[in-house]
Amino acid sequence: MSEEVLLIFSEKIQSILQSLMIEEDKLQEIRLRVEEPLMVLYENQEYFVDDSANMIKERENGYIVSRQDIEQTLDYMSQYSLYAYEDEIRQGFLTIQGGHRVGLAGKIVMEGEKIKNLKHISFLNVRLAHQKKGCAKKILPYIFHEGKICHTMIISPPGCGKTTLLRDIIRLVSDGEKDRQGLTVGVVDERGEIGACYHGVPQNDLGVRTDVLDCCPKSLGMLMLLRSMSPKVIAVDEIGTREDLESIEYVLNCGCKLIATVHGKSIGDIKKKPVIRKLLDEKMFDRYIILSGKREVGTIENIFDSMGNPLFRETVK
Amino acid sequence: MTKIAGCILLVLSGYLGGFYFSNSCKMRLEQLYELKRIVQILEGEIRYKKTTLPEAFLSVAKRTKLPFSNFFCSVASELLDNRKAGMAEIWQEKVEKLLRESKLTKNDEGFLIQLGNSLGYLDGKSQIDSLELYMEQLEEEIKKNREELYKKGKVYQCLGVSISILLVLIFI
Repeated sequence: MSEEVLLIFSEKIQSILQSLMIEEDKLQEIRLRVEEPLMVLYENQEYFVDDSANMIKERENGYIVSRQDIEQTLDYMSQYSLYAYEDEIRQGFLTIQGGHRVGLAGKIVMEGEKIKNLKHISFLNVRLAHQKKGCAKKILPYIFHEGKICHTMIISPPGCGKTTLLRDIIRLVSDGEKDRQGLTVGVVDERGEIGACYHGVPQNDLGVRTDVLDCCPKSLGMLMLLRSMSPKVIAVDEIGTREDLESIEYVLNCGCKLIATVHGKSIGDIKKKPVIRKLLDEKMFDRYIILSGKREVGTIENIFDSMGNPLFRETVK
Repeated sequence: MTKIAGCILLVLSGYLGGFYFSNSCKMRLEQLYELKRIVQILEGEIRYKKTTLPEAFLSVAKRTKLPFSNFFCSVASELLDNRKAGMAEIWQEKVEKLLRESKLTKNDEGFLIQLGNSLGYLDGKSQIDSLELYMEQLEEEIKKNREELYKKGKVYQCLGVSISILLVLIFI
């Protein structure tokens, strides 16, 4: 396992994870819960991990995560500076070096009707980000029409590879190919997962013509990029709020192309969300890519055009 | 001849002794001023840039002078590399070392350790509150030290020379 991931854990968990005999690419999640066994999600299968770093199915023998393990892990992942991640913690996650997202749960502190903070953090879910270069290559012909890129929406349930796919689309669109010129791409990376920026520099390859606004709210970032960096394409992850919708409408009317991702299983599923329904009803997007984790993470179920016609002809992994 | 040389040496050492005490006082004051500047930098890093402590300490290390540059650099690298101790322990260990390399007193050490105990803990506002409290303590110390320097600076030098002259007279 890479050092940047290992170093966020407490000593004991570090030593266990270090000895795990696994292929890092297939490790999806590491879960820590106070007084519960250490768990990992590997190749879509849940396992408990024991003291000797064996992945087992019986919970009784799993290594029991202590309160101290969680506290140490929080110290290390935040570099002893939880205050620096206040905004992220309020949303229930923080992104660490390498673009890996750590989900947090515990006791919520309210201020009026707003979440002020999270205390007694007792549950951590480390979701490992993997850059899979080339995973978007086969779908690229579908999102170009007559040489021009289309407004594209990637629809996928959590953990099925939508950010990974988006990241690779950005890279390919930005770099271009022999017969296709690269385009300037602006990325609003609200959660820091797409570029995994460290000190403002993307740690993932996003292409040579890509500008990144790191940790910026999508609705504000899209407009900022339009004004400042004149992108041909704007890419954002996990749209869904009313503010996002207003900015998307603005972007689409400015001649700039948009590539966005949405949580959901199908077009029918996302139509239940009022904000997204409006985007669909007004046919604002030209392509819809549906992902699932059926055969493996990142399975492409289908690609539709704005009229709902399926375009996808083969099973692409 | 030897007697005269001895007397001159005695008076000179008395003068230098007095000068040393008064200069220590002056240097401590300068170091307290430097600490005040450092707190302002830290406050800016935390309040406006929301940087993590190791990053903020490295930034301070670049913008300050010895012995504080070494102190902040070593705390930052320890926080980033040594994963066996908490923030407060690392900070305290380095403050003790700083005390040996600077003109700061036991009292200053106490305030610094107190600051380390509250950094990294709780939210951003609490960090700023801790820094502001430390700033108040620093200002109080600076005020006391300035008065002391004004009152005692000259006294130390005069006293050094007077005592040595007295010793000369007794020996003669």
